[in-house]
Amino acid sequence: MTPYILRRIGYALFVVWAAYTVTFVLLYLLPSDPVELMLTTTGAGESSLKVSDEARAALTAKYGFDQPFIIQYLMLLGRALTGNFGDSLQHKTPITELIVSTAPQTLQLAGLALLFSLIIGVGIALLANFSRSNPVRSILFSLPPVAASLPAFWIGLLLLQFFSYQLKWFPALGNNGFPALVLPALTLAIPAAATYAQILGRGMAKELHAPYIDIVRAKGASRARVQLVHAFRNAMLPALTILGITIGGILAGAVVTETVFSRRGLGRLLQGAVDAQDIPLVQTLVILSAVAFAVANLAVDLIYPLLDPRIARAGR
Amino acid sequence: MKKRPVLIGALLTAALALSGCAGGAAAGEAEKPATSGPVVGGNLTVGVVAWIGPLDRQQSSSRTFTNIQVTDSLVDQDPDTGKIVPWLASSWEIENDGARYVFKLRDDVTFSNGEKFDAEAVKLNFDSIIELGKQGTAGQANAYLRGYTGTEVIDPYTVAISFDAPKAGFLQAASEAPLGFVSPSTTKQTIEERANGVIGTGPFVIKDVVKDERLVLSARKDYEWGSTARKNASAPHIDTLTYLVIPESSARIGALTSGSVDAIQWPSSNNIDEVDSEYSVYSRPSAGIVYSLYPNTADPILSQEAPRRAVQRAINRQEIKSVLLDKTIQPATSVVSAVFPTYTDLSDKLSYNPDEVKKILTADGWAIGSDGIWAKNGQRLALSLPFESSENKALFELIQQQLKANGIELDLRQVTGAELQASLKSGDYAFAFGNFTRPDPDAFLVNFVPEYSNLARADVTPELTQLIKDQSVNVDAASRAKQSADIQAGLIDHAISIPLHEAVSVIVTDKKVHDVAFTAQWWAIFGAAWIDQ
Repeated sequence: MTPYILRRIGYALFVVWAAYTVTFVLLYLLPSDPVELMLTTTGAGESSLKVSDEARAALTAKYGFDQPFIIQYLMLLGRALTGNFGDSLQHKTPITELIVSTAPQTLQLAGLALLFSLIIGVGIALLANFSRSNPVRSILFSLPPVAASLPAFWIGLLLLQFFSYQLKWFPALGNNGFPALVLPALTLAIPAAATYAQILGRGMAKELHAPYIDIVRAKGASRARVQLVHAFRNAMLPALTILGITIGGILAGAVVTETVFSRRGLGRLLQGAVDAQDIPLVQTLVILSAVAFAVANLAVDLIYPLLDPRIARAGR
Repeated sequence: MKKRPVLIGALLTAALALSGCAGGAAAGEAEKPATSGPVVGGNLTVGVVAWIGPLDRQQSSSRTFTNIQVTDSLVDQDPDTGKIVPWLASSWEIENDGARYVFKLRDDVTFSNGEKFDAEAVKLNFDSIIELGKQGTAGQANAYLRGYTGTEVIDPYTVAISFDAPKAGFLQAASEAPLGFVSPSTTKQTIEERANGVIGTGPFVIKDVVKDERLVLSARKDYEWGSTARKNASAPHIDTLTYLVIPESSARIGALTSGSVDAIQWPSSNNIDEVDSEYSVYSRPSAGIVYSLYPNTADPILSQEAPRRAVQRAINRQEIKSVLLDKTIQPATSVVSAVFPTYTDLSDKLSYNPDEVKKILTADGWAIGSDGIWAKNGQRLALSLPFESSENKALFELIQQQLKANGIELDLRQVTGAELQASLKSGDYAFAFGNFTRPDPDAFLVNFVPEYSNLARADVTPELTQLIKDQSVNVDAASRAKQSADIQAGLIDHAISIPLHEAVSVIVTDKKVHDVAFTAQWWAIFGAAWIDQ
């Protein structure tokens, strides 16, 4: 068991490091000059006097852009390892401060979205398989592909239109309290829920035709027991993999959701950082995302053997 | 990540539109209500498109307006007449042909932390702006102070500001927000500290800042030194002014119609003609260089005058107006907008004229090739326009069609902001797109003189460059206005500027909100605003 866990932790660390390095290289290869962009966002680049060479050189040195590629990389990596991500070029404040003040907003959103997506996704999968009515079954089975193909911003605007503007049940914008969290979380949850429902629903349908189910039935297990205990448990493995991947993708979803619902959060921070080519901030957010992805997948990997003891044994 | 939710956007504007005819009046004033006068009290919430950036106007970019009411400047510019009027300075003298400005200051002005506004405060501010410039920030403020040699404190309420050469645009520059005053204690703070909010003498005080979400300003009850150009020179009528960041345009319109906010910055992607009469529309064109194509005159094709002039006459500005622009936006009739001081109407030189296009190009040795595009010496008349925002895509596509009908190819290249900056810097473009707000002839310096950012890279007409520099040292108002008129005509004749349409700032409010105003530039201000109770 221990080598399996160690190997998985090793993979997780590799993913974080690789994400960090690839982002650095990509950002470094971009054609534009981050100092130029910084001057532009503060109004000094375009629309006014050319910035003096000394001021430009001072800024370049301050952020280490005058160093060779590999030195910049090692410098930033070394600092990142000690938890110091430097200053944001665009906000001119320590990145740790920015993250600490915005991350809770996105974590709440992601947490609630995860809860919603699990309830909806698992609920639909179970209902679809449990229902004895053919029309209901086909509707429930065709819902997930439809929902998965809806763009998130469109879902968000639709929810806004009905639940905020028409019914006035939930606030349309801002970060204040639980009610403001419901619609954005739902927006983020629907595509994920659709994926879970699809994988889990189809998986269960397949498992229900497996020979071992006949044996379980023959032993006199109830319909609920057959579905929930036997088919569900076996269909859960692939769904769990998808769950791990979606958690990693939450930040990407937050960019759209936070924009539509005018929420402060990591998604909006990321969007602004990319627009302004704020290299240190983008790097940090990518690491955060990679860590979330790696941790979620590590957790999934560690849960696997509990569900299916064959996995840990095979991995030995 | 700029998605255009077309369907819902249309739904929302349809919800707004009942009669199809719009309420409110044009150019900065909504129709007057029948009530007796301003009501004191109330909280006004405005939905804005983006976060405000550094909350220090001396440092921040010209794109933001939410923080301009926190500081006051030496003088103000009347939005209707363009005249410079007293503000924190009660009078002034221009000496040494415009190299020295002596200001008499009001003696009753205080910063919101109790510090006194006096000659020392002026000196501290201007000196610290120069220091900020050396650290690579406060670029705009430093451009306004270019050539600054120092501030002399003559007595506690008299200062003399000197430059190494005459500087005709300084009086107007002194009215601009980047030269607004922060308290002496603020000038001693670091760039980062100042970015979180400054203390000024303005009608509003920064009360609460939640980055990327809201900025709350509270009215200063003892304020009584507003300029005569402001409708309310005393304390604001409202108690608080909150700017809420609502980036998505449909969500912003929804916030207004559902009553979550009292006013919004109108999304330029939506047609204002669809807003019904339940809402008031306040608008003000930017006083400055209109949205224009700046030809890169270092480009092999556009360094020649004929192709530039051909493009100038191949664009149909009336068609742009009828297809794309709502009632608040006018097509270009000069390099600058009609509210720009010294504006000259040059619409004759900008009218659509396909025959003239043929004449200009034929005379210069161009001939239509087999692909329908003009060519000369094997070079096709194909020009590139890199751009970032999807908001302008429809405009560019229309121009592309108009040029194509006249045998000119326009390659539209949509890129990220970072790529665009790189293109502009390296000169990899035929046309750059942009506008520039500044109600003073020094606006011409910025894009047409090599020492500045100079998108047109214009040094092809030395005499015009010289004229732009000459006006900037000419303190005689009448002859400077004449020079400005000549510059406008020159830029159009040589097609160094290809103006398209005016830029406009639009605020749409609930009917219960009154007297939203704009500065001479185009920034919305709320010192005179009041709300029905």
